[in-house]
Amino acid sequence: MSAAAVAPAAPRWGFVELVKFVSGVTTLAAELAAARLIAPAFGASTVVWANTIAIALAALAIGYWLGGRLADRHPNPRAMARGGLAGSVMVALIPLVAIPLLNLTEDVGEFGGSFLAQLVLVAPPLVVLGALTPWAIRLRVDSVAGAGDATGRLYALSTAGGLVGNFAAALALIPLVGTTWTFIIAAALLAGVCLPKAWSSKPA
Amino acid sequence: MTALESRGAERGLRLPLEALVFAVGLSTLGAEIAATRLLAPFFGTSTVIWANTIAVVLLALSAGYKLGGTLADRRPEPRALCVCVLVGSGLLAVVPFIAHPFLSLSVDAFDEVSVGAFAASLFGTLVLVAVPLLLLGTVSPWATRIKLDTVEEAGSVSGRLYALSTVGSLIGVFFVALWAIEAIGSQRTFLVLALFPALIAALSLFDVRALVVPVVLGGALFIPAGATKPAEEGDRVLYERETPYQYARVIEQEDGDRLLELNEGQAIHSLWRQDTVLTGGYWDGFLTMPFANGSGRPPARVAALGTAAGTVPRAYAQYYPETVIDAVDIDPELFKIGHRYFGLEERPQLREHTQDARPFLRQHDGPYDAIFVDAYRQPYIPFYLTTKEFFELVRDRLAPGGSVIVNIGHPNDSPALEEAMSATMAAVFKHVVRDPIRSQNSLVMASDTPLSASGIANAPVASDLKELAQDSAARLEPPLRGGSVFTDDRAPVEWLIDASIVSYAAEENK
Repeated sequence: MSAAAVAPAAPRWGFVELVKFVSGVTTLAAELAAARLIAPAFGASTVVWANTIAIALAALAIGYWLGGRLADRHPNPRAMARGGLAGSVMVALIPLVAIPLLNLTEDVGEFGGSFLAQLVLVAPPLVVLGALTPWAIRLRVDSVAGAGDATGRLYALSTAGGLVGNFAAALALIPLVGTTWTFIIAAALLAGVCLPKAWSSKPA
Repeated sequence: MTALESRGAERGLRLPLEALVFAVGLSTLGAEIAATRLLAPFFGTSTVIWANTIAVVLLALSAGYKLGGTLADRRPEPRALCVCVLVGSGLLAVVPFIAHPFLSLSVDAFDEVSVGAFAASLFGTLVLVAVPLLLLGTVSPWATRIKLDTVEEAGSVSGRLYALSTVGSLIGVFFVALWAIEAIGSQRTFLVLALFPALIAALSLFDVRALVVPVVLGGALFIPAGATKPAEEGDRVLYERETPYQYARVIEQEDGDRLLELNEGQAIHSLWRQDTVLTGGYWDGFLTMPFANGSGRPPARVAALGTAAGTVPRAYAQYYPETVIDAVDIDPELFKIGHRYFGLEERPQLREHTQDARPFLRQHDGPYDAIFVDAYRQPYIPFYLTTKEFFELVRDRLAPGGSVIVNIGHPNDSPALEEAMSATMAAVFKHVVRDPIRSQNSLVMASDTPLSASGIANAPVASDLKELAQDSAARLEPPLRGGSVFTDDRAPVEWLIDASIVSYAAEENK
């Protein structure tokens, strides 16, 4: 325990920070693209909007909670990289699964249909992406005395990533390349960052 | 040692720290939504406004997280955290009271197209929201630091607190968007959002001085809210209300005309005149244009998507009382406003549907002789009502010889949206024509039956519609060319309109 006091500060900009930032970008870009994907089938009435927000936030909350427990059990960057990779694969699959799913759910009605669609399409990747946040914190906190700083910095980074993702998706990707490619680009970004560490045994 | 210290410190609180984290999560995201609704009556909800709001809110939170982490390591004491929350809450409560001078500045800025005043007004308001959010943002990392006993549990402790804060956010969003803004207005919504974390912080501290903050905030709930937006000279505000979707306001001008404004009021969504159902606006075109298919009779069955307060159904009730109309609007409040202020009368031929236009059309088979599309969420047409897939659905719901007529705005004289929509309609229908009925609006009509000006000119209409029909026939022309076909996957409606707004503002300020 006391080792923390002597050990030099952890590298401030490394794999963990990069993943946290990029996963922020991917999460927000995927959320916006998902809203766009679902609108033609169910419109944008308040019930649809409420479903979108509720499922996204609930999935993230579950991801945070679950990710924290997993992180304490596997506090190594390789496990985190694999989580990120799994998340990016799921994001890339969203538009693919959407085609048959939206056809099936369109006739269920706006409330039930949009709920089901969000639950199947968007919730699973968001749980996985949410899990990366406490994981990053676990990897970066090396003493209780410095925990506040590490946590605050990672939250800030993730939020800044969200801001970039929001803007990139709404102002550039969705109008320029369309919804499907927005998912694929957002997923590829995260996969590109996670891939090198997913099978590496070196520390971050 | 540190572990024992922080344990002991938390025991000094009367409520678990989790309660504070939850309350602050609720308040921050709630405040973000409330801020958008506070701005909407003055600035609207275009991408430009939305992007600035999101950017300021997220940057403030981001800075708050960073600051919170630093403060946490320096003072890992719950009491300091509670004081920070009390200050943040107090500042949040002040927002609606000092925002009004900034917001009112925007009304003149719109009229004079003054980008400087517009930006000052927008950022003035946003900074007011940003400062309290920055202070509330410190809570997450700070609470994590206080809760943490050993490095080995850093993942589960931070994950649990963050999850709790997110659940709070979920409830905050629902509270504000689904209930508070409509039920108690934006001023009291901000007060409640401030009161909740302040109360938890004060109870945690259990200190008489701290309790002053929630007591004052609670007292402020009794301050009357007053009008949301001041009336302009010569106008009388008959009615104003936050609906589930927007801020709606009914204006009566000096000449007695009534206008329906939504949000910032740059567009007029419905028009009522005392002794006539004719408006002199684009709405009149829906009375004569359907005859372009040469049928020589008015449509027997119509779906009007996006009717607002019912200007078109009202006119149909007078000129074509036999026509059965499915009037569709997403906002239930607008039908009520129509009945109260815009002469919309209940009759068996009129069916009102509170629904989004595309799901409505999917669930109703028709077949319709005419489908009118006039659904706007200013300054945009919802993208899913502009695509090839949408017009395929429309075509499927039309009776043989039926047609679709779309009202397309030309924001700031830019024809880009009409070009794209004409191309999209031409990709689905055999025939497309346009009537540039007003300088800012075109009606674009599509059908698989040939469309001609002579059909309109020779229409057997009432004598007071003859002149309108002749004018419409004279204006009828082939559609604009040069646009690309929109699809559900790619329909950059917002992009085209934002580009025209930006270039217009740049021109005016040269």
